[in-house]
Amino acid sequence: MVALLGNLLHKPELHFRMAWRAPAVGRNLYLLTAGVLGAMAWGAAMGSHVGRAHLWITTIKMPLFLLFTLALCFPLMHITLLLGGVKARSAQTLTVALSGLSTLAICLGACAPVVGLFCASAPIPSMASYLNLYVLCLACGVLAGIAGLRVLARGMRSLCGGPVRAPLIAWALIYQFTGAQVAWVLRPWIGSSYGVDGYSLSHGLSGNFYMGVWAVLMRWLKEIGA
Amino acid sequence: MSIELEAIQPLDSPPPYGRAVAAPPRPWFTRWDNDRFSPAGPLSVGGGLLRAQGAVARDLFEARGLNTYIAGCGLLMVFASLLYGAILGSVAGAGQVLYAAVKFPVVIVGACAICLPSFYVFQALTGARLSFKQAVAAVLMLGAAAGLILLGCAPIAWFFSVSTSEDANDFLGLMHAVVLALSTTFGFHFIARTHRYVAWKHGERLFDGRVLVLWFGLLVLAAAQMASFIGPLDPERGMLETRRGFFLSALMEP
Repeated sequence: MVALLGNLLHKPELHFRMAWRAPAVGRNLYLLTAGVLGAMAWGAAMGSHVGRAHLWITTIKMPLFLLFTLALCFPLMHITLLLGGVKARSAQTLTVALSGLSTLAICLGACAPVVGLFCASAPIPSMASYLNLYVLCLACGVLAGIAGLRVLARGMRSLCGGPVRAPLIAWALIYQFTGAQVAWVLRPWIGSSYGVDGYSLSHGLSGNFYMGVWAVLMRWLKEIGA
Repeated sequence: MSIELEAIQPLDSPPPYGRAVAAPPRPWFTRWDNDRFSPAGPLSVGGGLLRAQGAVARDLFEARGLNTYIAGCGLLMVFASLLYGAILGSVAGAGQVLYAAVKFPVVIVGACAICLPSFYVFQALTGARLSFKQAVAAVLMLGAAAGLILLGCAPIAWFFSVSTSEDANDFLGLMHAVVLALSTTFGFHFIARTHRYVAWKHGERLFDGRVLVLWFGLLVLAAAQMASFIGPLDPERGMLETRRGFFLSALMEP
């Protein structure tokens, strides 16, 4: 597993070529394990702001979030890859997607100690600290996302030998579009500083991320008198 | 001593005056040319449409295995529209799922069937060399290609449908409209590329490009009117209840 991850991070071209030739179940399991561990570390770091039940709930939720989003997006991602001219079998697409996702999760896991420190030491309850943590997590998420995409781009380029921009952008858009809604359903992440004792998913399966963003935008425009 | 100089020939002699310079083949032409596929049965046709579009285009042009393609594309189109119809219906509650799952394929298949004669007749009139069977296969391939995109988007659309509350129907309407537009555009894109590929490879016209574009507009209009008439998403209508009216006025209704 260590060798596999070493290849993935240091020599993604080699990793992707090996994975492409023999997309074995064992390889996918290793990638999955690494991704789950990284995501759990990140989830634990975010949950440490409120602590108590929220800590372990977020630790479990984070890998579920990544994998559930992948499950929803996988058919369309596979179709996009085929239409982009990459003749992949579904097992090969899964290995490629898991490689990108694992890189993202490993990067998140690497940032987890820093985020955990800030989360655990931020004052509570405080809206200002909540917003600061939100920005910190967002920045780490963007960083990890870019790292994952870069590895994916290098790997896919080595497989196709041609431009892979179109399928890559499509993958990122599909995953981001769906992931935002999955994250919305599984909220809270950092956790509101108020009354988390009664944690429940009762808010779940209601509302919509994009409508929420739209409402906030409208409210903000109204506030500034536009 | 005299030295005779040979006339230097230009590397690429220009074409005679007034004749267009032949464009180099586009990369996808070469890719399509290398595609290999022979349908093992109707259920394998979807794989061909995704992985070996060039081979499917050649089979359509040479009228090879058309029965298999017609059966496979028909099945794929019906299944995809049935599944996506159920997802569309789930927005209006569980009771509407069955209605929408039955009515949506009727809209799609019905629109294709209604537009098929015009496709064949106008293509034939403009000098395209395709038989009626090839026309049926081409229309069904358009539907099946669109169906593949619908199938790919189905899990995401389902998740948004079940996780979004009732007050966000505008968002869901927009999302479904985008998915349907994307899938239809992909179906048209496949047929348009088939036309260009055949013209490049064989120097013959399987379709007429302008008629294809106009006919596609007609197909979209017919599908919209059919949807307005049958109403797969109207929870107040019974299974066999239809409503007269122009689709644009139905869109303007609050």
